[in-house]
Amino acid sequence: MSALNNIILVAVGILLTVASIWYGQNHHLLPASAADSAPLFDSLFNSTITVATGIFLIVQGVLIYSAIRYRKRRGDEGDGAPDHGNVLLEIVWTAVPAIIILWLGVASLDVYQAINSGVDAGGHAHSGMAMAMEESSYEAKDPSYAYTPVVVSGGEVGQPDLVVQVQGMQYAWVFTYPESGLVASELHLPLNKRVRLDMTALDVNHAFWVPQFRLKQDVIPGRETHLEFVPSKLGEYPIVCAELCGPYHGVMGGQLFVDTPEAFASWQEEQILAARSDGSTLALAPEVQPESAFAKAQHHRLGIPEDIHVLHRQFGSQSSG
Amino acid sequence: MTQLQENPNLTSTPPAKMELPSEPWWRFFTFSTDHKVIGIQYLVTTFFFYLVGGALATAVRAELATPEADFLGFERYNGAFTVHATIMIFLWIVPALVGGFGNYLVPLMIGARDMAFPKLNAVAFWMIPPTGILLLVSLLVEAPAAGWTSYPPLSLISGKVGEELWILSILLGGTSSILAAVNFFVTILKMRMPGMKLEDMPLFCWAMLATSVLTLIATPVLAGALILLSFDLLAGTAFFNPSGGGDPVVYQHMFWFYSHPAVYIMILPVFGMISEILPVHARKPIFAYKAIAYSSLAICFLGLIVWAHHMFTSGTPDWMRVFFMIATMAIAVPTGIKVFSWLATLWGGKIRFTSAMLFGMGFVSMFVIGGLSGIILASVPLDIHVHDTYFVVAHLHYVLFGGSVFGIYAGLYHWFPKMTGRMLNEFWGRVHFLLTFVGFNMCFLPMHKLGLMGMPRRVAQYDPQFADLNWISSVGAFILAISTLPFLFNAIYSWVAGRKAGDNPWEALSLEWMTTSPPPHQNFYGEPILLTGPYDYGTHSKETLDYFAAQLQTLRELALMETEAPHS
Repeated sequence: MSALNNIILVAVGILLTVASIWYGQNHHLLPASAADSAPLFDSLFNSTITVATGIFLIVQGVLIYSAIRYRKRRGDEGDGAPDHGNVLLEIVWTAVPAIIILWLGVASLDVYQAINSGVDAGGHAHSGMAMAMEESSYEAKDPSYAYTPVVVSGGEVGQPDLVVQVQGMQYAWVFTYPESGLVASELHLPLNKRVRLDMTALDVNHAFWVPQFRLKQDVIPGRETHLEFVPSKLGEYPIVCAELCGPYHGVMGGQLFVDTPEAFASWQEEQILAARSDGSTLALAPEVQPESAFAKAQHHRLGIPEDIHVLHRQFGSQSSG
Repeated sequence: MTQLQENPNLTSTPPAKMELPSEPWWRFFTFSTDHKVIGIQYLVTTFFFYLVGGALATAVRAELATPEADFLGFERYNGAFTVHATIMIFLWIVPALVGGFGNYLVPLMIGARDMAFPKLNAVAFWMIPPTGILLLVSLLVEAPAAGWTSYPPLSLISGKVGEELWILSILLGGTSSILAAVNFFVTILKMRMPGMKLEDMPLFCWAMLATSVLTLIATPVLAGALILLSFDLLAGTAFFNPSGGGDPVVYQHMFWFYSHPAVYIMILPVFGMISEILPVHARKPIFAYKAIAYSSLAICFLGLIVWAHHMFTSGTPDWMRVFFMIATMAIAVPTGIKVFSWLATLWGGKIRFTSAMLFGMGFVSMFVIGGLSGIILASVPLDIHVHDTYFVVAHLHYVLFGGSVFGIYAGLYHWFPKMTGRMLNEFWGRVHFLLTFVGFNMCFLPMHKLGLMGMPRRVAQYDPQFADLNWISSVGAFILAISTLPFLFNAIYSWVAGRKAGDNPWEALSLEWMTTSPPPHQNFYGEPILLTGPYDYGTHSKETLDYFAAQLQTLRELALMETEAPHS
C-alpha cells in the first residue's frame, strides 16, 4: 500500500465517521419527547443510528466501489484473483460486530432498567420456566385466573404518586381514577408526577402506546400489565392502540393530557360534578372537532353508554394494589 | 419414467447435439417423482401465488394512499393484509425457496440421481395447491382478519369460518414443509456422490441442511398451536381464551417458536443461492467458504432461541426480555460474517453485470438495511417504541422482499437456463431490476419514519399527518406491481422461444452445470465426476477447463452408447 492510498483511506474513514455522527444527531425520525425516560431512549436510538449509518455507508460503499472498480472490462474473459479467505480479516469482521452488539446490549440493558425503574411490566408467571427462574418474585396464584390480575409481589416496585386503571376494549380506552372513582374517556395526568397505569383488556389484545413517551405495553385480557413513567412536558398527546384488535383498530385512539397539578385537580373536580349531575359516573369526552374524521369515529364508538355502565358495574368498584 | 426408446443418432454432426429425447411437456401436470419436475412445479405454482399476494398488497397500498378508509373499507382491509402475508410466506417464499430451488438444485449439486424419497417429494408438492385453494376460498367466505400472526382472542371472534380455513391451510402447508425437510436432510447427508465430503458441497447445500433442521424442529410446534387454536374456535375449549381461564400469551410463544425460525427458513436458502451466484458472475472463489458454511449452522441454532423478541411488549418478564435481546443480537455476528464474505468475494473480481448479478448485489445492498433495522428491533428499550409500528413493516419487507425476493429473482435469472435450456432476455432483465429496485425502496423506505413518528401497523385509517409519506409509499407499491410484468413476459417468451443456453452459459464450476440444460432424467450421463471444486475460479487455465469439458463430452458419449447398447 502506498502512502497515497493510506491517506485516502484515512480521509474516507474520517468522512464516514463525521457523516455517521451528523446523521445520528440530525435524522428527524422521532416525534417530540414528553416523558422523563424518553431522552434516554432518544440518546440510545441516536447512537444506534450513528453506528448503523457507519455500517450502512461502509457496506454500500464497498459494494458500489467494487461494482465500478472491478467491473469486467471489454474483451477480458479472465477470472479474478483466486483468494479463498484471509484469517486476519475474518477475525476482524467477526470481532468488530461482536463488540458493537456487546456495547448495544449493555447500553440497552442500562436504558431498559432506567425506563423500567424496577417494575416488572408484565408481572405474571409465564410458565413453569419462569417460576423456576424467579421463584420468589411471584405470589402463588390461582392457575385459572380468569380476569384476576396477577400482582407482582412488592419490594422493588416504586411508589407512584398516582395510579390509574386503564381498560382497553374494542375500540376505546377507559380510565378509572381509583381515589376519586372517576371514570373518564381521556387520560389526564399531572406534570412531573410518577404515574402507574394498571392495564387490562376486556375483549381482545390491545396495546397502549404514546409515541411521545416512547412507551408501549400490550393490554391483555385476563391479566394486568403495567406502565410506569413521569410525564415531563405539558401538552396533549395521542394514545395509540398498537395491537391489532379488530376492523376498527386504526381508529381506536385516545387523548392524553399532561396538566399542571392545579389544572389536573380542577379537571377532576369538574368531571366528578358533571358526572353526578348526569347520573352516571362516566365523564364523556368534551366536544369533538367535527372536521376530524378520526375524532368523530372515536366519539361515535365511545358513545355506547350501555357498555360503559356494564363496564362500570363490573370494574368501577374494583381496585387493585 | 420415460426411458430411452430410440437410438440417439451417434453419427450426427457435432457430438454436442447428442442428448436424450426430451420429455413431454405435460409431465409438469402429473404426479412426477423427478426432483427437477417437482422443482419447476413448485416455482411456477408459487409464482402464481406471488402475483395473487402482490395484487392483495397493491389493494392494501391503494387503501393506504389516503388517510381515510375509503377503498377496501375496514373489514375487507384486515382480510386483505392477513391473506397477503399468509400467501407471501406460506405459498410463495418458503415453497419457492425450499421446494423450488432446493428440489431442483440439491440433487444436481451433490451428484445424486434424485432426492432420497421421490414419492414423498411429490406428495409434498401436491399439498401446495390445496393449501392455496383453502386460503383463497377463505377470502370469499369470511376472510381471516386477525393478521398472519392470528393472535387470540381476536382470532377467536373475527372471521371464524375464514379463520378455520386459514388454520387448515397452514396445517397442510406446514405438513408439506416438514415432508420436504425430512427429504433434504436425508438427501444431503446420505445421497452425496462418492468422494464428496460435506465440505466439498456447494454452500447452497449447507444452507438447505440448516433450513431443514430448523423446519423439522420448529414446524410441529406451529401445528400444535394451530390445532389448539382450532379447538378453541370450534369446540369452545379455553387453551388461549382468557374468559375460560386460558392464556393468550402462550399462543404467542408457540406461534413465534415456529414463526421466528420461519424467517430464517425464508432467508437461509437465499444466503446459499447468493453464495453460489456471486462467485460465478464475479469470477472469483467464494471468500471464506468454511465461515459461510458454519455461520449457516450458527444461525440455525441461534434462530431457535430468539422467538420472544416478537413479544417484548407482551408483558413478558424482564429476565426473558433480556435473554432474548442478547440471543437476537448475537445473530448479527454470523449474518455479518456472510455479508462481509460476499463483499470480499466481489472485491478484486471481474464482475459481469448479468441480471442475476444485479439482483444478487441488490440483495446484499437491501438485506443490510433490513439487518440494521433488525438490530434496532432487537434492543428491548428501542423495540418497546417501534414494536407493532410501520418500522417493523419496513424491516420485515427489507429482509423478506429486499432479501428473499431479490434472492429468488437472482436465482431465477441464474438457473433459468439450466432449468429450461434457454436464456432469459438480459435487456428486459435489467428493466425488471431497475423497476423493482426503485419501486421497492420507494415503497418501504418511508415506512421507517412512519413507524418511528407514531403510525401503528395493520390500520386501514391513519392520522392525516402521515399522508405524504404514505402516498410516496403507495406510488412505490404500484411501480413494484408493474415491475413483475417485464419478468413475467420475459420468462414465458424465453421458455418457449428464447436463445438456446447450452450446458454452461455462465462458465460456472459447480456440478449442476456439468450436465446438459435441462439435465436428463437421471441428471448425469454415467457417473458424475468432480473435476473441479465448486468455486475454483481463477485456479485453472482456460486450457485445463477446455480439457475438462472435452473429458465430460467423451464420458457423455460413452454413457449414451451404453444406454443404447441393450437395444442393438
